[in-house]
Amino acid sequence: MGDHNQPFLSVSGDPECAPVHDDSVVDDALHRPQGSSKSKLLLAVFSGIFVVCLILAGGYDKSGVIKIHQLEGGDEMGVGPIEMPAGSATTRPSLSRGKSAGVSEKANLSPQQLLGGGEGSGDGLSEDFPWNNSMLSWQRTAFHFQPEKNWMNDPNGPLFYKGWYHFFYQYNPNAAVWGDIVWGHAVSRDLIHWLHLPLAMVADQWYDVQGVWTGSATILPDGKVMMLYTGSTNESVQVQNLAYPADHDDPLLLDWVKHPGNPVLVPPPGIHHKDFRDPTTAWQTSEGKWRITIGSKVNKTGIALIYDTDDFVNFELKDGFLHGVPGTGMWECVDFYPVAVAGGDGLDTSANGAGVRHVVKASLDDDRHDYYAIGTYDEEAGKWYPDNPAIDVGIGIRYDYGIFYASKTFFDQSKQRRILWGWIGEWDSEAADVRKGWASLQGMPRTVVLDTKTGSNLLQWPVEESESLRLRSKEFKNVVAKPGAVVPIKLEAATQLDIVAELELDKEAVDRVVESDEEFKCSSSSSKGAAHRGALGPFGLLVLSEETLSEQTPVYFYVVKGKNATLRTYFCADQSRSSLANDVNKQIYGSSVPVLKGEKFRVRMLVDHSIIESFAQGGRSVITSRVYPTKAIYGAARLFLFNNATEAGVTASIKVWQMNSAFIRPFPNL
Amino acid sequence: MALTKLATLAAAAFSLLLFLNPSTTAAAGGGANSLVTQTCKQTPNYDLCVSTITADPRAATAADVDTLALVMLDAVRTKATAAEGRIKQLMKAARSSAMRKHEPLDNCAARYDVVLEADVTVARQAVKLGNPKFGEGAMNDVGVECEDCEGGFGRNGEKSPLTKQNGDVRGLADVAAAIVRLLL
Repeated sequence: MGDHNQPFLSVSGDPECAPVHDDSVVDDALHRPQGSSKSKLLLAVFSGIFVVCLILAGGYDKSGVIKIHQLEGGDEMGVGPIEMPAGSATTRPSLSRGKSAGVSEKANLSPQQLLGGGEGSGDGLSEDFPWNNSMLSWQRTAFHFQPEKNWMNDPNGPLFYKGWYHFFYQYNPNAAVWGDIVWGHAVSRDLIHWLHLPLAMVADQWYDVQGVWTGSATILPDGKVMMLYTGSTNESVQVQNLAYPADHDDPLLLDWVKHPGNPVLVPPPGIHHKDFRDPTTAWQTSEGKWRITIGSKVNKTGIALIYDTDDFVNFELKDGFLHGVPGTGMWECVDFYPVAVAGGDGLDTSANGAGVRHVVKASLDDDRHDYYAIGTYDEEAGKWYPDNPAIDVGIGIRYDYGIFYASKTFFDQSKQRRILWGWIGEWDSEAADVRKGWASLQGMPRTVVLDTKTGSNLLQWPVEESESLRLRSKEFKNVVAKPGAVVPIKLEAATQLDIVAELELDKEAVDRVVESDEEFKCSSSSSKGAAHRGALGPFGLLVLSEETLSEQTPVYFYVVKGKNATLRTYFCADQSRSSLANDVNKQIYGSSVPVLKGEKFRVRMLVDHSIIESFAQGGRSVITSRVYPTKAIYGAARLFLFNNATEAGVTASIKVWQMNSAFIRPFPNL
Repeated sequence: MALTKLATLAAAAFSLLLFLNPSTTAAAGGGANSLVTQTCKQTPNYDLCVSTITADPRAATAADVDTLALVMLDAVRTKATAAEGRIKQLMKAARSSAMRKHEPLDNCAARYDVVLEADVTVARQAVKLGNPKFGEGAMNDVGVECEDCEGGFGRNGEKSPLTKQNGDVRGLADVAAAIVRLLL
């Protein structure tokens, strides 16, 4: 077996967008002054030139039209996320989530991209199914957080308080699309069984009348809760406001009071009034002050502003920024937190000192992905420096290589862990969202710790309470899949599953295959996805698949044996054949994943109707997918093991649990 | 004299072209301001962008890209409203001649309802409030809805009577999406 030890690829991200395409010839034609001379000759000359210019303009019309470039599906770890070919100013950035059209995560998909045209989709002429209510209602999840109806986006102010986990979220009470945003609220004992509560905050003040936007909670040493959040004012200015529980003795924190002196922060000089949002949880400085950070941008440099306060009402803007990265654009939902070098438990947000690294995370507006970097926090200077500038915030590692945005962590003091929430949007059409009456999910909450084996990335894993949903299990030991095989994994049902699988490539084949100089990206290989066959991959599982494979969602590993027999592993999801419908995401995406010496290929997947969350190598790489099959639903959904490698057989041991519903419902008897 | 005839011909051609390109002339005459041209250069259809924006009175005094985005969103709305009107006409005709519901037209009606009530509404709010990613997504969705409206006729084995409308709306939405992207 080759040596798997693989550092991340170094990044040569091009931070600056390409210059604007020069259409000066067209400009000249439009600006050509009308002839004013009374001389027929002069008029003739001007008219002739004008005509010629218009003809030329017509000719340039074709080339002057800047084509929308096909989006690259999926970013790779360690590669700049925004690859702009020269002179293509209108190229939309690399597809992050490959959102489908519509409001949620759809922003980056052009219709061409959305409608795909991958191998199996019949090039747009497939027998697609117009949606019916049975297909649409199947999409609702059983054990992921979502309100009873309508639109949701960012997680807000998560905290553990007096025995309850609290979750707030951006919510539209009036429609299944973004707008009229207020704070929804729910509680649970265990991060799984959520109970809906009344709205926590509505847009009833001039300073948040156009939107009660994202914010974070800070629990003070005396147990009091401070909630800072962004308001969109009556004049569309983004400001920060303070709110706190009306009754600190109420464990349900039902009612909230907005500080009478709001807003407590307005955009500082040099910061645009529409680039100032999403305040973080505060952490203490050694001076005993509280410190927060708020994302923004200066031109195309994404930055994190830093403020100190004693009382959450009066703030002092610190000089410079906590950090900034050129070319990354607006930083939304910035997060800043410590992780222990030794791994293990999570740390309180104020933790610092030896044995502590700090993570800076930003949601990039430009490409709708969440990026993080690990580094050193210099409290005195109010600055943070990445361990590896080549994979700095916004140009390096992502939490998730599928659909996952606006994420936020909190410290769960009851179990000493840091927990990550992430907004999972929709990858279908707006029309489908409107018809089904809802849009968006929250990811399964994940614990976050430093990966002590690599030291350069985080590990994410579904909270252990997710295992309480497990019902009956079935084990499949040493299932062999020869090259080209598709092996059914027989289950009583296949739409609510917890799958844990370990896979091995045939060792003799791995040793035998010749080195390849293949430059692999999940999204490349001419969009063939899991149909692209290499010597040592792809191999993995076909999820939410139909008996005849007319619909299938492969989640898989792809291994390349490179120079000196080193193996590189990639972890991908392929939606190109996930649905016969034409108006859903058809992208292929993923990243490379470190597989260390002696490690088998490991994956855990949570399948919950229209969401799949896939965790490779214990959470070293994670992919969340939103899938909308038309046939592979209810009792017709199947699970398969597949191996499309040409040279190596695969042996897999798989354990599959049926998952119970979380029975998320309104809080009883309120 | 040949030159006089040529001059007359050229003058006639010039006048004809002026007549046929009012927006171009307006641009040339009023001076398509540099904000408009710089913005439109960054969209997939420069000419459509310029002609659409400069046809709107707000173009002359527009001071920021946000305003141009709103102008383009209004253009999408206008074109989509016209398309919806055409769909309703066709539905009326279909009802009076056929027994069964006309699925492709019903589908188009639903899709355009979403374009107007969801996509354009969301995009306007997004631009206005400074959360443009939702606007870009919404304009991208317009393309999807138009494609599905168009595709519904193919599924039914018919030729679409709305190809031009779908194409026009989609073309404007693509430009709008590109302008909104500049606000990110």
